[in-house]
Amino acid sequence: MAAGEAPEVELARLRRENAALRQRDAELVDYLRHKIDQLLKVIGTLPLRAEELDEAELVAFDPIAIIAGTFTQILQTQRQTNLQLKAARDKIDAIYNAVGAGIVVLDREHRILSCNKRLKELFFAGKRRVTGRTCIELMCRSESPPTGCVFAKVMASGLRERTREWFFEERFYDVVGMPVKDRRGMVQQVVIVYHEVTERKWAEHELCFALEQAHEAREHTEAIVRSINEGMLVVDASGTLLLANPAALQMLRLAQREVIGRRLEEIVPPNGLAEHVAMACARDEAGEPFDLTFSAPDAQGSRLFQARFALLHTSAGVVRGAVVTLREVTRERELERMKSEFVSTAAHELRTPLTSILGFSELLLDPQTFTLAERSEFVNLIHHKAEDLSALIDELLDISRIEAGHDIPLMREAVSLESLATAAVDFFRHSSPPHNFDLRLPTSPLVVFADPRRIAQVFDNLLSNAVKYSPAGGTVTVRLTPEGDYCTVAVSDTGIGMTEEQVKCMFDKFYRADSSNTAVQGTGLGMTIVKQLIDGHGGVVAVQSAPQQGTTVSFTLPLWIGESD
Amino acid sequence: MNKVRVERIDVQGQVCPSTLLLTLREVNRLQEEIRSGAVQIEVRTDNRHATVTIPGAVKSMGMTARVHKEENGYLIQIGAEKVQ
Repeated sequence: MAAGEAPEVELARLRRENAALRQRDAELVDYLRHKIDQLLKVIGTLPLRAEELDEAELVAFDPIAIIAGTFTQILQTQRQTNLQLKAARDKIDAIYNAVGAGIVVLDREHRILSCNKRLKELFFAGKRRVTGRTCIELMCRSESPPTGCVFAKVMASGLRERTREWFFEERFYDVVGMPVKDRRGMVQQVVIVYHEVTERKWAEHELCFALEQAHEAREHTEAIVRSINEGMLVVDASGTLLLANPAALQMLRLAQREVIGRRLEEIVPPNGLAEHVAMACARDEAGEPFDLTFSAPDAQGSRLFQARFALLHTSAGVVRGAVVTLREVTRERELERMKSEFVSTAAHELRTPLTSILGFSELLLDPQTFTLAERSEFVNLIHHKAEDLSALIDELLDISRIEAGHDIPLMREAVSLESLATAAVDFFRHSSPPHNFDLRLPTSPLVVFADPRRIAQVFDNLLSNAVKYSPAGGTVTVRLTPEGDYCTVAVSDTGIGMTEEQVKCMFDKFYRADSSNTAVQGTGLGMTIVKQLIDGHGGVVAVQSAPQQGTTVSFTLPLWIGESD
Repeated sequence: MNKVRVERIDVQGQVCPSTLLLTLREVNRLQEEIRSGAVQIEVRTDNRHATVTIPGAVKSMGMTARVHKEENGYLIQIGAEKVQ
């Protein structure tokens, strides 16, 4: 290089180098700005204009480092979000598969997008591939949706739909379908949840059946309780009445609404029943019931009941109440009394003639010499008493025939009723001198077709009663009156008469109007036999009486029409 | 309760992306304190585009941004994401 040329050449070189460097610098800055703009575009903002940051500020500001730091945080946030999403998805999957209901997600074309484990168990057991196939192909297997198809309902309405107790393949399900819509509100997917309710359904069915059976059993029991003749009361442990059957209500003369819920001592008379029930419950006298007889007074007089208890227990063995059965024994007790009285009276009646027979026969056996007349009288008396004994035994035999349901045999023939009446009245005139006898006969003869011995027995009974229950000096009237095809015989006295109650019972076996008066003899069988005999002849017996106004017993007999049966 | 420190950035008169870059530089610098809830950043700008870009970027970074209209511009409050 020449000495005079070197500075200019060097200067030119330096100028050229400088220009190149400037060019290079400008290119680098352009490159830098371009990359910065690319990064700014990525984060969604506008490119950097040159006037915003000059070259010196651009380097000092270091936008790339700023954006890199931002990206680092964005990536970090993304990772955290992904982890959270994964955890949420895992949680949802666990719930999805652990829930007891079957869940399936279908697209608009019925294709299965996903389903949980329970749904596979319910409907797709044994099927290897499910996702992507349609529910129609795998489940319904029909051209049209089955009745109650929730998918169809959701697709039609676009709303949550439900089908209760949907029946499919022998099982019941409660099905709920939910739409999944896009931004335009169009249903894109349907989530369907199946709750199996088969067991609940069968349990409901069995419960209904059991309730029906319980209802029938209750009705059956109530019908039985209503139908039994004995009164039945059911009380709880505190003595409150829970049930009373119609027979009990009738006995107590109370209505259902008046007794249920009330305490026993408020309902029954103060006869000790309530106390006995309370004691039985308190002592838990389980096992054998015991009898208690008490009276229940009412307007018609006392009634006797036999009460029997049966205790009720809970399954734990605690006394929870009692069943009281009430059987009216008024008549039964009366019959027992009358029978007992009859036995006593019959024994006395039999004993009386027997005593005479034994006494007089003993006298005849005595070696003491009696005159023929005396011995004949003794024999007559023995014979007479034997006849009395025989008549009494005949009465007993007649009663035994009646008890056995047989009729008393009748030897019927055409017989004059006047002659029978006259013979009977004559006998009593002779045997009962203190009484007056008035026999009133019709003007024309009365012939009846009857057993004369039995009609004589009837006259004997009626006249005997008239004499027994009339005072000395009283009049006994026997009146025969023809009435059409019948004849009415009336035996009237002016004696003590009878009450209405006594009249009602006078034809009962063993009944005696005045059982307390042991001086009046009789077994109480006479009128029973009289009624049976007159009934057997086709007649009717009637009684009219009033206390202290005498008694008239009348009976009818059919008149003989000239032909024998 | 710890008091939250507020860092204020005034980028009024500037346009995007400068407003965004300036905000992101401060957010990067104070990211730990912002995430812990100790610091909040308040950016004042009169650039409307910044009310979109700044919140967008900040939310992608896992933080929250609230924009308030003021008389002479906008106030953007940047803070930690609330734990749900």
